[in-house]
Amino acid sequence: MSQDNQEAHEPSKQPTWSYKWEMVVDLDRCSGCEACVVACHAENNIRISGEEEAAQGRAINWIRIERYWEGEYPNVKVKFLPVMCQHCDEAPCEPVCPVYASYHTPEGLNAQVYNRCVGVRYCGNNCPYVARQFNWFDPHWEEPLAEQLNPDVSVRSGGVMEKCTFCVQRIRRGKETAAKEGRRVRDGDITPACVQSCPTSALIFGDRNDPDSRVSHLKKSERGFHLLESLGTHPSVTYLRRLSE
Amino acid sequence: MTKRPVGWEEIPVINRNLLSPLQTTTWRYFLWVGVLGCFVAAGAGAWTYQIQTGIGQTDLHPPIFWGSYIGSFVFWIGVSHSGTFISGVLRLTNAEWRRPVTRMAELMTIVALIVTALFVFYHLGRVWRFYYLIPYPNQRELWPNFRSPLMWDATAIFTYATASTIYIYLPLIPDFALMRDRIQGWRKPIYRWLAVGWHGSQAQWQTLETAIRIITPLIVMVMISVHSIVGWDFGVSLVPGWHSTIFAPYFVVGAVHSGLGMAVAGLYILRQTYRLDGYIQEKHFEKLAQLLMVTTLVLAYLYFAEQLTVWYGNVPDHMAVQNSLLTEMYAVPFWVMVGCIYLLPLLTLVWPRFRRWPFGLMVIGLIINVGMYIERMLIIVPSLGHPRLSFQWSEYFPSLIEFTIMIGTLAFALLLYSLALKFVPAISIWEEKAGRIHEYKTREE
Amino acid sequence: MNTRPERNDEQVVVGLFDPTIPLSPVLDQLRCEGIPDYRMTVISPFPLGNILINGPVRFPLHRITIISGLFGIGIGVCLSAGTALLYPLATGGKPIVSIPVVGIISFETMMLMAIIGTFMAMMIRIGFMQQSDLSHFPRTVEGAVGLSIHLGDETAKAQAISSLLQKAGAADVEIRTVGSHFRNGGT
Repeated sequence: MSQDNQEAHEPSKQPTWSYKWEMVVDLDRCSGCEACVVACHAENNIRISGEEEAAQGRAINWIRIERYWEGEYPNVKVKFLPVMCQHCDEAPCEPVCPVYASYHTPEGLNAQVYNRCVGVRYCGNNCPYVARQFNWFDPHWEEPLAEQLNPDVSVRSGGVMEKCTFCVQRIRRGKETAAKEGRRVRDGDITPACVQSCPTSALIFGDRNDPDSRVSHLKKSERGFHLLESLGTHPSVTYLRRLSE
Repeated sequence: MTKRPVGWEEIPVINRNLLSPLQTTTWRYFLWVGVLGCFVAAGAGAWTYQIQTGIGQTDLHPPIFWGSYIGSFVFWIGVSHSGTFISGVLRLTNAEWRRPVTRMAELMTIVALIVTALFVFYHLGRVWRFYYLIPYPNQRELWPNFRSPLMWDATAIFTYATASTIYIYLPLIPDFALMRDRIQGWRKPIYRWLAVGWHGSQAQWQTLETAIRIITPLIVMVMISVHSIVGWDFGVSLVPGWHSTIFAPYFVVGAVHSGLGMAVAGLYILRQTYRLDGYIQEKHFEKLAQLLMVTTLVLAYLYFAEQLTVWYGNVPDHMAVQNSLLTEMYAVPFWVMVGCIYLLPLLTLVWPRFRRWPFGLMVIGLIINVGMYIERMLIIVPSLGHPRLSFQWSEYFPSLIEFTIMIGTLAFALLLYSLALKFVPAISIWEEKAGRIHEYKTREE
Repeated sequence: MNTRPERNDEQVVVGLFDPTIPLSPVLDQLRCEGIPDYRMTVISPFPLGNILINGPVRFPLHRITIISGLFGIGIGVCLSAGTALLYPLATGGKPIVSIPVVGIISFETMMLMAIIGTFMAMMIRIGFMQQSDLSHFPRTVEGAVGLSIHLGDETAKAQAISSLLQKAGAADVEIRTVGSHFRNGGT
């Protein structure tokens, strides 16, 4: 019964394969160029906040590059840390939502249902990664920018929470294509916008349940760690430590 | 001081004294209501503007998703503990001196609870979808998620509000009957309806007293659970500075602290406004001051226990929050708060003579509440402002809209209270009579 | 309404007492005169506590409290566990039915129902104790304790009783004739 309900929104009538979507961030490759941030904005119809709101700290970014400085001038080193929703298996943001706007899909995605959200913002507080973003106002695009909105992604109204979805619309399409061909999704079929646009291939996305996927291999790397691992949130994003220190 | 006759003759005097605020209204009252009405209108306007344009009218931003509205919510629900604590616990312990204090404190509870609910609505991002939080079979085929502490909150506050309304109504029935017989005009049919045919036979009294006796311990338990759950809203989260087992008891004691402070202040103001010196005497202030002394000490103890644990444990995430309070960003409000809710009350209330000085106690009561308001904000903001990933550290100060709404709501609370005083007597008339006769009989013996 | 035409002219003796005068001895005297408890009503502006008419009130309000509390627990379990099972959505590692949550919600609904149940029962009982003729007893509002004795068929006793009340210290005694809408309810 529980399976039925949770799978009800899956359009596929084909035999279903079980997937577990994960991401790997190779910090050694990240140059901090923020191409991922731009790509994410374009793909996901993220509200444009403008200068004033950005100064208030309200710029919505589903993925951001955190910069940490080490050492004293002139011997300064900057470290980049791309942070997006970690799609935790035990996500602290999910159970605190009183209206099930935030819940866990069977594929390990931490889903946000915009229509259910009433904006209590508890999820935002309880996310240790501050990955959740809030629409403080209704979105607005100057013409002709409104023409470039992605038709696959809903535009969120003011007053709702949103965050990285691992480009769930692309995952959907990838799964549908694979299902039409009667096969499992192959590694590389699905690339979220950030992964696609990363010039140094620092971001890798794939199916953890596929033992041959790049994600599965990289996850086992000695360099692998999770962000704030001690909190026990079991994130789906694995970071790979920098090599050159 | 009003002369206090004893026996039969004094009962008409009690009726006259305690019903007079309901029967005569001065121009000062209308002026006061009018001024409050202006503030309320400003607050309502600010809220309308916020709904129309977006919750961004606040100063909230990631990672500080909760701010003054939730702080006010916690503060007001603390104030609501005045009535339940005073009338519940004192009734439970059969404290005779409670009689003139209970009604005005219970009224405070009801008003504070209405205001508390308002702050939930101010806070919601999409307030027009508030009904998503109500459990009822709906076309969306979705029930609310009771695993969320916010649903515990909603359930607890609903229980508390319902129970408090019943709890203020029960001892009001005989007074409603009195007003039904004494007050003419548009209020009479309402009183008749509310008095449910009360005539004061011994069977009715016994039934009423049994009901009050049963409900009193229940409502005290509800009171403790409500503020524990509000504490758990913070305590069960992962946020450094919130994730602590001490939150539930700390919140309960803090609530009683500000509730008592508000009760003392309210008691003084009522006494001066309606010349109730004969009813609200120095001994009542003294008892409340003693209780305030207890809550000050317990609260200080709990607060010290919490901060000491953080300081000695020296976990960086938690220390970031503590440092911001003790020495950095929020040091000024923090030390003001420490002065307001611990030091000043301690330094003044230790003096027996101060405890018998109503005006001084009113000032201390108000200072405690200012301090507690700051304290509620300081629980929320510094913790949220220092998430574990230090790149996101941030600061917050309420915006003009938030201040307007908070002040407007304070005015609304005062307005509701003032209007209520024209509908119910501020002192429970029959309990006062029973107290007088009891006193008289014990003196004779 | 239990109105019988032959009772139209029933007489009631009403005595008003100072609240500090103990009424129990007066009641005992009346009992000696052969007035049964159900014919006597004591009306007071505050509870007198030690006055027993018809013995202690037998009204098991606490049982209603317990039953409605149990009902409340049922509601709490249905809400917290039942609705979660109806549409089981996984959220962040918390089980669909979380025992502590069921405990918290059930506690609140238990208290809610217990208090509402007690209140309703009390209201219904108080409402049924209306006595139209005695509900306006203006001087009890002013502090007197009223003792009324319904004479029923023994109208002859009216004078004896009124003098008895006067001797007991009643400030005011009158003999009223009660209209046909009188209903012998209450205690």
